[in-house]
Amino acid sequence: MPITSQYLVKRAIYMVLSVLGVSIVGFALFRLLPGDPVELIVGPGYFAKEEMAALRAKLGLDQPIYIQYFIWLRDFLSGNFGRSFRFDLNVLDLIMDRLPATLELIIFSVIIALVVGVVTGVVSAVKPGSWADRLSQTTSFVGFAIPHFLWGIIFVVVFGAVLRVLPASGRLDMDVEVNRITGFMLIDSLLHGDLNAFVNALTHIILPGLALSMGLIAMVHRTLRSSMLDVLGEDYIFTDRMKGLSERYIIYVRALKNALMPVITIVGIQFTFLLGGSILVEKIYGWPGIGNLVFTAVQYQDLSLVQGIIMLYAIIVVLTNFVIDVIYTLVNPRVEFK
Amino acid sequence: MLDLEQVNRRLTTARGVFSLLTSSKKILFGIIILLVLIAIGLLAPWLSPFDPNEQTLGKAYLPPFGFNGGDSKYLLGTDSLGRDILSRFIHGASVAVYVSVVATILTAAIGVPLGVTSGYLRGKFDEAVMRAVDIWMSFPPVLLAITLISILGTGLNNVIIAIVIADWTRFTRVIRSEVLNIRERDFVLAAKSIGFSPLQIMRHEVLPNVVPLLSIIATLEMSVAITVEVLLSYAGLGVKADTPSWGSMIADGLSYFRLNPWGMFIPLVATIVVILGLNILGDGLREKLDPRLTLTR
Repeated sequence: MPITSQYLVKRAIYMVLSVLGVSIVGFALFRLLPGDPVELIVGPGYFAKEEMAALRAKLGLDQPIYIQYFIWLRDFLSGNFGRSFRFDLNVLDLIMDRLPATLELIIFSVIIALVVGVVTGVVSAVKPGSWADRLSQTTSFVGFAIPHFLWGIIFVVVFGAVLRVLPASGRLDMDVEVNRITGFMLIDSLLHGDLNAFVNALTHIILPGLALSMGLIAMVHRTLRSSMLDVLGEDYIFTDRMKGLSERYIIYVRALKNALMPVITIVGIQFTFLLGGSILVEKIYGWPGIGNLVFTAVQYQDLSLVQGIIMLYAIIVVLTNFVIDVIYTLVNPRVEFK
Repeated sequence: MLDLEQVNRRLTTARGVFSLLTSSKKILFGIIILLVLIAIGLLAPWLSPFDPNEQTLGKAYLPPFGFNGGDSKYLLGTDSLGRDILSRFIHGASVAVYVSVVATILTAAIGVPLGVTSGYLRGKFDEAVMRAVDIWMSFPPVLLAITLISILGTGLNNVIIAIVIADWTRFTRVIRSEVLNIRERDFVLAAKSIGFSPLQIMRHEVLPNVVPLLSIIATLEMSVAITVEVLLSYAGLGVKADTPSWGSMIADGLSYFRLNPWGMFIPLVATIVVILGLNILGDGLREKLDPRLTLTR
């Protein structure tokens, strides 16, 4: 069944409902906080009671929860994410300032995962049961079982502290500077033609990027191995061999093209896990993205900021799932939607 | 389709369970690691040579016995406050056992009834449960756990509550989709036709048949629980300062890494071994009990 406009409308409504649901849960969770955010901003005992009350009223914290929620929702829908207590900045500006760092890290780790996962997946599928296949299967089991952040710590210790071959903190060395254009350090340094800074940024992103990609490498490897095995058994591959096409051409062009589809889906599904994993990996590597912002926001009970980050994640997750579903239907028309 | 009767016979008699557990190397390996962890955890008060919080400041940063400067009294050395690493490691095992077992039982206690009823009854209830699951799945669980701890405050039981609230959907989702298959089976239709009530069918026909799947998810949930405890403690959001957990040992150990690397090395290796053991156990169970199920997070 092709994608109908009816299906799209239904999905869109579900998406909006999910995001709304997240906003209510997130809002309720944080308003049930035992601490007093006003006291956290100004410090205890700094102001008199009346001044505290005035500040609370100014921030709208004296209203009942549901009124606070509707005020927040109205602002949110008009693109106003509120103001961060801690930074005294617009939440959306803060998030947009940090988002490129996080996206750069995630995209980098997706690229690592695709390259390593596809190569090992093909090697595994071409000679199933060989030592290379068994080795990469075992490695991918371990890569998958150990969570992102433990890989992060392992790499910090091994490469950052013991071997000291790669930097394990931040995006650049202290004495290197790149003026921001896109916010993606690897791109900006190239745009400035600063090869030195590019290499510097590259060495900084390798460890956190690798830590984040370990699980995904395993997923890509496993998925490609099994889809490649399926494809290599198809009639058209048999025909290609009969035609006398070179084995290399058959594997890397004819077969891989079709075997890659499930991999794309897996990467899409895993994207949300990378988003979650990046929070801790950023903390470990002092990576100045959204993940580190989460910890600051939570530490200072910065309600608007936490809510803003939760909404950002929810929107990304919901949109990603939608895109995967649509791609999946386009590629595989047998999938039916109810 | 897997042969439910056969699997059930194996899981309902002690001999059947024993033969299942010894039937694969993976299962045996995982079970041994799990049993060792549980044994160390339960016997911690008797095994550990020192009080895990006893500080001897003059004896800080000692390497393990046998290394230059080591002390036979402190077999694995001491941390930055002169606390015995072996004792903290042993007590950390009981923290890991406590968190993983209690969190798994609680998530199952929420997820299994929800999954079974929504999968069996379908209709409005199912719809509502699935919408709630959708909303939950839109939060990255790590973000949810961090947020919850900042509200609840640190402490072992709050860590467990955070795990349960962040991860109850795992059992619900998997059990529900399995029940969707089971409810169409002949024995369920037979029970229906002789007039069993939905509650009776769910209890006596459906529930026993999700047990194999349940055992697989439980191993996964235990490793998730241990991971989350370590992760939160690493971020300073886990247990209280006087609770010796592997996560807080790793975080502490990283801060004095140059002075004594063993402080973080031992709990890190222990965490990895336990997580791998649980995953291997889950993998072995899956191969034996349900070959259709693929590994999901």
